[in-house]
Amino acid sequence: MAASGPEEREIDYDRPTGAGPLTVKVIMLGDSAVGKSKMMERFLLDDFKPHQHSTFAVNLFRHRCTAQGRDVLVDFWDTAGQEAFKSMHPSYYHQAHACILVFDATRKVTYKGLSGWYQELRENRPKIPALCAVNKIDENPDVTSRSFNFTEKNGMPLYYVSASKGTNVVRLFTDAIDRAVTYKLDPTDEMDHILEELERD
Amino acid sequence: MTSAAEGEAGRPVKLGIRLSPPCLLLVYRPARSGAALRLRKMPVKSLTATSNCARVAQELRERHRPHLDAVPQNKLLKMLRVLQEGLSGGRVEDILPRVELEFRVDPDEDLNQLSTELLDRKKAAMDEHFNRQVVRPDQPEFVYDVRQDFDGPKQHSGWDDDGDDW
Ligand SMILES: Nc1nc2c(ncn2[C@@H]2O[C@H](COP(=O)(O)OP(=O)(O)OP(=O)(O)O)[C@@H](O)[C@H]2O)c(=O)[nH]1
Ligand SMILES: [Mg+2]
Repeated sequence: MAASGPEEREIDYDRPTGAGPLTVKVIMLGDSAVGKSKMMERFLLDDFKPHQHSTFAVNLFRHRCTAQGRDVLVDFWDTAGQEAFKSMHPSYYHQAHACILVFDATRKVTYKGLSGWYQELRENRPKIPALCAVNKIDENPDVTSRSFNFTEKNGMPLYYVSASKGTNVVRLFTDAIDRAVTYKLDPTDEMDHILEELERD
Repeated sequence: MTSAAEGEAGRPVKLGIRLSPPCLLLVYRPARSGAALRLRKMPVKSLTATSNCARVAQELRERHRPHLDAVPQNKLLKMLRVLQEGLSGGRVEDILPRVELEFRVDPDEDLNQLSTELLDRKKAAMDEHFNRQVVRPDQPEFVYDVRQDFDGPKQHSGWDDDGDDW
């Protein structure tokens, strides 16, 4: 492979925010074939060009935008078949600032799958913002008048999405970026960690 | 895409097969109005028991361009799978129901465990729905940021069971 340019280099997402854009990492989670990649594609359109991570089987999509008046560089991490193990490599979660959990409006089994993904997310990233999307509402419009215990009990926003028609796709991703930026500027889980150490002294 | 394909190749009417030697058959209505239906025979010579059908489909699409452009991928894949199973003998009536199952999405099936090739068959079936619903950027009605609120009264989904512990 050709040497990668500055835009392709892998990022230390925890890098202090000095000069240059703010870097954030947003990860996609959910069962096979719920439409994670189609949603990414609908959001990025012509920029839907995956970079392979140098060491892990994931697809990275780099996106430049403005959020909260800041110049932001977002890396979206999308799965590349690891669902078979019902588990992702810890590096998938490492340094993530927000997570989008997806299930399929036509397949209850993918809703049931959320609990496993959410548990693994929280083991790795206890505090990052998580947003939930039910995709393919075009196939099952009835779902838009339904509520779900999973999002209610976990106090998570639920987005009714169609990657094919585009419904609420841009809203979901821009909200996720916004939450990721907020989290990065005020990473409460790191604060908790420091407080704990003080208490022990 | 469909209209361009229709312009040159006409409209596909039926897709069929002949098991031996393996051949795909397409009945189409030529673009010229009033023309009689035509039959196009497409031998599938490269197919073996271990071929990746998606790759064979791609070869066929290219070799017979533009005739297969308007044929949905899952229909094409299904024909190739029947031909592939037929290589080792058997009747279409027996093979077809087995192959149909591979392309059917059972809403209760856990797709996480499928091999890439089997998963691709399910996705080909899903793609047919997707393509029916999709609004692409080159369509005049396309809007990038489609926002729709669904904040009316909600009923419970019924997807939660008593034992669920979120
Ligand atoms: N009708 C409809 N179909 C969709 C929609 N989004 C995705 N699909 C279909 O669902 C299938 C799976 O979509 P993908 O984007 O590949 O799903 P994924 O979650 O990335 O799957 P993996 O990468 O295997 O985990 C595709 O065949 C799409 O055609 C949607 O909004 N509406
Ligand atoms: Mg995918």
